[in-house]
Amino acid sequence: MTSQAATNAAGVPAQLVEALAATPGADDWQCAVRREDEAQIYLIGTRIEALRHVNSTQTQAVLYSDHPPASGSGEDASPARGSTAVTLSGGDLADLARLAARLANGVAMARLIDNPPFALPTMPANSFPETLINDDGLARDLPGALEAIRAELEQAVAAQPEVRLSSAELYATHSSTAFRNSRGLSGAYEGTHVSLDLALLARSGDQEAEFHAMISRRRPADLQLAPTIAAYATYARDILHATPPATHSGPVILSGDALGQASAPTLGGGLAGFFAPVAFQTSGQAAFQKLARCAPGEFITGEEPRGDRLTVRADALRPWGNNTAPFDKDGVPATSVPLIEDGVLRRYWTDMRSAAWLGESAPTGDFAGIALAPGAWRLEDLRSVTDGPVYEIVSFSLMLPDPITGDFVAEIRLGYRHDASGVHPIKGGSLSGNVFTAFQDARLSAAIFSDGAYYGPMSIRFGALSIAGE
Amino acid sequence: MQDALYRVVQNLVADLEPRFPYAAALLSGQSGVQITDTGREQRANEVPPTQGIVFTIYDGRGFAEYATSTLIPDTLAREVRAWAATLRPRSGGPAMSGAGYATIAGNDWRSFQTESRRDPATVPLSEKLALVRDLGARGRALDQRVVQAQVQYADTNEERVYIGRGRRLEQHVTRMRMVVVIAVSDGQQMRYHFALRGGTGGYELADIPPEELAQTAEIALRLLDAEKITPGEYDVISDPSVSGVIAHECFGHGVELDLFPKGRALAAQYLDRQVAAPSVQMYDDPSVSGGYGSYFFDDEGELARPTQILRDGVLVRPISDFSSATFAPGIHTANGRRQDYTRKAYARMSNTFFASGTSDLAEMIAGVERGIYLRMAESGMEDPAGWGIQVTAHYGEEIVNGQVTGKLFAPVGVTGYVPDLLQSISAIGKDFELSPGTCGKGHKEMVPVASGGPHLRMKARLG
Repeated sequence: MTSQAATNAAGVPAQLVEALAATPGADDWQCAVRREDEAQIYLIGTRIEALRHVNSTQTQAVLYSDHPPASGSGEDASPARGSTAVTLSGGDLADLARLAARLANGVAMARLIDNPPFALPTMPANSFPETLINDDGLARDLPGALEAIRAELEQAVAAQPEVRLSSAELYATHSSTAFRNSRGLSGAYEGTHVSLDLALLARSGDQEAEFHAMISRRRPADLQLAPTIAAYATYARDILHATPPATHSGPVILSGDALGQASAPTLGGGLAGFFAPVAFQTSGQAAFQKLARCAPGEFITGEEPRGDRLTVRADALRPWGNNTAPFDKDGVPATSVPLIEDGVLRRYWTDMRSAAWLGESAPTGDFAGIALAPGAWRLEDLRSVTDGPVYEIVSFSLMLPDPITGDFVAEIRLGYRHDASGVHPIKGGSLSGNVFTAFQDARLSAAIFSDGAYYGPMSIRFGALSIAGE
Repeated sequence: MQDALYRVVQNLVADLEPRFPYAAALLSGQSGVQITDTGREQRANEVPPTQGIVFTIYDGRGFAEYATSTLIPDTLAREVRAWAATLRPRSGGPAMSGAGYATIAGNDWRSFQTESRRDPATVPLSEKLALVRDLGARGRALDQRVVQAQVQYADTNEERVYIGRGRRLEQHVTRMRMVVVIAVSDGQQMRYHFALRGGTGGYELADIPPEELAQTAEIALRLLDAEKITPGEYDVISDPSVSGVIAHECFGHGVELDLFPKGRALAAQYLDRQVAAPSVQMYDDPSVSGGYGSYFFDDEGELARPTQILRDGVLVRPISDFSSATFAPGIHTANGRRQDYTRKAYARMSNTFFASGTSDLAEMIAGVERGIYLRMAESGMEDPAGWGIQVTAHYGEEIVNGQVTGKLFAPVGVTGYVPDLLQSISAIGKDFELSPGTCGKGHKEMVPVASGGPHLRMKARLG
């Protein structure tokens, strides 16, 4: 297995570069070509319902225009920069006149957009950072690798008593991205992903229960199928015996997938899950749009935390991270940058635009993954019931906190009640609270968990959250 | 070029059809523009075209597909023939089912197009930008506590060409969507509210009147004083957007036939059984005029028509795609949809809604001694196997002694067991409204949908 962050821009068609450079009124431009090859297997039980092969090429050009703002007037009319993204088909690229017309239309659109000025990145002095994101074995034989994963999945499920595979979707993807801009920056990289969307069914008598999960990694080895399926099978069996929780206000632990993001390009991408408000509220965009809840130097939680303090990095360099890449959508080199230290917001992460608009010397690049420093707590101490029952949630139906307020309400798919009489599975009801308020009183485990986009404590115990139960 | 492409695709399908029980091709793409204005930043981009083609065969035991963005006729023909050469007919699978429900057949092109008073493709970008900027500026001027008014506008012309089963169908569906989000702050905390428009139709849909804009800001400001609701069971009234998401999550996802052979749908055991109050009627209907989830035929060439899912509270029919109608088997409905050509077709909803009843909203509220009026659905999540439900409303208004008190709670989550929720419905409003949305299958496979219905009165667990 190897990987690379190549700095040649092979893959950007020469006629596109020439056409962009010759487009009247294009004060700057950038273009990216993304090619993707994907094998897909769909299973109903162990039977193959469908096999798919997909190849696609997407070519996108962004055109920039500097002009007096249409909305400005008189002395306030400082220069504005507009931009427009144009996606080009193979037909556009094959016909130079059509290509020129499409780009000219893009410039015409960009002229109507008035934003504060910002500059495109130039070639980094030390080239792009090395990133581990391409599994050569997977890239070489997508259908073969996927078939091997299918067989391994089948074996892993067969090893689990009282559990069968309801269905699964398997994806193996190899992509290449080539990028250039008008400031001389060029780069290219290749990456792989393997993703599973699966449902396990546990049966006991005439009772049946499902556990649904999505997993995505850069390489098959990181799927850890046998232990992962064993854990999910346990969850499926526990759901069979789970009962609704009691209404509760007090300590609640979130563990594993309940904290993670399961985010990967093949599964929709983006920033999802419990930490989405943290990602948004630490962004330069939130600050520029006046939606940030705190400024650098302030506690991200509003008040000084009573428990463990958050230390968070935006990490676009983590080896084999789902969204790791040598540069972001604008060609900004990837970084791993501390955002929150000891609970205090140190800086915002910034893309090309927001960095310029906030007066930052350089952008950090897009948010690609979240890394939380672990705490010192042992899992058994987090689950301590000395002061009363503790609920531990391992799976939600949908954890979708509000990125602006941090508020959330999520149905509990599976959790456990730890009390003096033991550990009891629960399902149903909802957990509600506010992400930032919750971190005013939190204990972080020493044990680590990663789902490819989240890297941090396996479990976090919050002192005061509410469960709406029976 | 386009004619040459169609000819090649037709010939390729014609080559495949004698070899396999089923062969078809779907060409898809889209065009349009997306605009966002926050007052501090503007963006206007073309809608990513995601243009491509997918060839499908059923070999007698399973489905195989080849999907590509290559639309150069000769190259496409070479790629598809190379793929097809690796395929062989097999036996042992179910006989194809549900192949003959569409009524249009023959080799004539049939073309469909969304009706509109003004095609957004003919509206200059400058006019769209002016609309968006004006709306945002008016929103920001409403109150000094408004920190941002963000306007998002999108028009999309979706093109689909289906060739197979003796059908050659073409459709151009224009979807419009506009959202205004008004964020306010009192210096301590931030809240927001939103107004939403969307449907199939023309530029005439891009209209949020001043009074609605003002009301959006007023609610956002009132939300600064909103409290967290005390968890528990309440009498609730749901507005049409919340009713719609309940319909969507309960017996939209719950009756997707592709989940039945996987053992993932409890509904399989409840066909022809009472699952909701006897007054409840529920439909999925891609043929609704103006619905954001509307289309003329699905991605497997099935002509749009309504499916009644619940009749008098009885579960009578699931929704299906071609594969699930074959494997389940079941009635083939016009619900085979793809996110785009790179993804598989599944049984997916279109416009899903409860039918109207006879009650006035005022009477419904008057009948609640203590309860919550749930407003503006934010999100929902299905649980077809367990019949749990999660719906989040942006806020709820307190009702005491048949009157809304003005006290707000936010956000408010609805959870519970689907039959308990639907059997508790005690009044159905005579109003009706559809809201635009985006629907995933699990957490992916996004397609445009609408959901809605009337106001409903029921009992629900809130938190």
